[in-house]
Amino acid sequence: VAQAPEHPGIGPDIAGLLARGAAVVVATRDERLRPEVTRGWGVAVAESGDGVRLCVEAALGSPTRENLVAGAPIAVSCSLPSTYRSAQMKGIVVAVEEPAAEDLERADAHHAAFAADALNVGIPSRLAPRFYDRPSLVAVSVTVADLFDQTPGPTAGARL
Amino acid sequence: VTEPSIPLESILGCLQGVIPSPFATCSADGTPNVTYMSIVQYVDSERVALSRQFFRKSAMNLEENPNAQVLVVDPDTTEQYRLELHYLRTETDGPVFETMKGNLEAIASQTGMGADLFRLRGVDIHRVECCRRAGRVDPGVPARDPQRDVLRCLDEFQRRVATGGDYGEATRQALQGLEDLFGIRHAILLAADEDGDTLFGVAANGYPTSSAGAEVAVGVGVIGVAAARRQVITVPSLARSRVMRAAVQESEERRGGERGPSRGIPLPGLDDVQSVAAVPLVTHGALVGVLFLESDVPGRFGPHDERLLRVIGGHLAAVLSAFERDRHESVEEPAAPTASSRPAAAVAGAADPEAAIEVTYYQADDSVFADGEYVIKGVPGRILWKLLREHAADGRTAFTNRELRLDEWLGLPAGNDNLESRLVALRRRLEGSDWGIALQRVGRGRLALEVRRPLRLVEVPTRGPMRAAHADTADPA
Repeated sequence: VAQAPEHPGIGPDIAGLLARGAAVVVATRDERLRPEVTRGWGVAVAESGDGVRLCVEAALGSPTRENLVAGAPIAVSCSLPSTYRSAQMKGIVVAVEEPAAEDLERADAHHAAFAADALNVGIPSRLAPRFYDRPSLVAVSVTVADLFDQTPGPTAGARL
Repeated sequence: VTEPSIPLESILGCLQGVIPSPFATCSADGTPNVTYMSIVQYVDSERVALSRQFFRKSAMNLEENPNAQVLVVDPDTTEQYRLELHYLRTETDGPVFETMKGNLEAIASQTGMGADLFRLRGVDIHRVECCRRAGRVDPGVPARDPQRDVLRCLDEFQRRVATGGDYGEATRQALQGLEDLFGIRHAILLAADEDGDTLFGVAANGYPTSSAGAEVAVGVGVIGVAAARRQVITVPSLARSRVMRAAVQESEERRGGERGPSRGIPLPGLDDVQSVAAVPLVTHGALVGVLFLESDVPGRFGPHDERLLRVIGGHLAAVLSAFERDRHESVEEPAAPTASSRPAAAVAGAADPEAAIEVTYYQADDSVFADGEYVIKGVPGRILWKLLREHAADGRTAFTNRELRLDEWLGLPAGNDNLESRLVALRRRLEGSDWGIALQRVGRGRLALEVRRPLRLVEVPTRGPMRAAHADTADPA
């Protein structure tokens, strides 16, 4: 059984996916192990390659907002609509904050790239904004412990 | 106050698989996992079925912890709904599994992928604990089209099809009715051949070119799989299927079994097709044909349409089959060549070869070519050759269905001969050309051949397996 590397290293593949407008979804869970899924935007990879900071849709009072506390486990998947190239990061929440201006700028730019790519699979531009719940965003810093290939096919689930 | 759960019946548009659905599970040790599901399908008011194809981690988590959640998206409005799920079981047979498997097989076949790559390992049945709106709630969202009055439309569809006095008119009324009543603007009707291994185009609506005589093998592509499985196949998003195919191919690191271009008459198709459906026409367990529908709107056809399409297909199958049967029971006197049916043009060996059209018949596969252009093959090819040969011999223009049935050289089977559908395909194939040959239905069981250009007939003998069948035929050329 392969062991998770101590620092998985978020390589150029995943950074490229994010830059090209990959759809990002985030899963957390509550104390009863009930998962909660939401969308994420504007993922920035730490220079060390072992962490990310992203904006997560988590309205006040929502289960995701309740689940997002320091030390909580989190899964972040990114998938490019036009190719289905996908990867998943698993890690631990380090901090949850109100988004700073640069967080929101990154999220806006990411959404614009996502909308452009989603056009390729028939999602019209006028509808793409509805995927983006900007007022509900919180900034979340994550230490990434594991990376997995999620592209559909025989390699799905393999550790990267 | 807790928001009430939204009935699944009101979000059926989300449960078609047009937009991938983020799906979250959690392992027993508390590690969440999130991936995308290809298909989240409505089962009943309390349950949904999720396809189990590639993702082992989700499957492992569900065994340990049945709690799950999926985010589904309405492809028309992009409204999102969050379904809280409780995993019940995985099914590897039964109607839900077979329906989903049939759809995946059809997509695999249509996109040229090996079925094993799209192999459905099972369907996970989940109880829906709660369904709520998710994401941004925008009051300005365009509403979905109000439900059409389906019963009224079906009633009108049946009435129209019933007014068609023959096979050809019934198919025309059916395709026009689909457009007028259900907004289905692109449709092709294919009939099954006697052996049940090939479908041939009979009628089409919404295309610039004719489908008449185009052939599709049973078992191949969306049309062929619908025929083989006797199952309505809907593909909500072909764009997604193409993307999925590319992703799996890349993952597989090998090339898929792409099909070469088909010979014969190509089936017409929309350039920017986004969604398709194939409806088998089955009556008394026998395959009569397939109704193929296309749309340039993603999500136009999906599981929510399947009941309606089954009813339409069942009715159409019964009507078309009755027209075929009716001709068996009819008694028609073979029409002798009449004085009025003088040759419309000179026959074999025409004096003016410049204006003549050369019609070539190949015994090997009963194919007919006009001035080198493929016309038709198989049974309709044989029928056309018989008519032209007799016209060349004595100028006949009047024929009957009965004599075609009794002609041993044509070799129509005694039972289901599909003669009506064959003649409709042949007639429409000739209509869409400038060969100067036309076939008209002039009454119940009667045909008129019209030849507007001099003919030069050439029969190419075969030395192959079909030689014996042609041993006694004279070469009229």
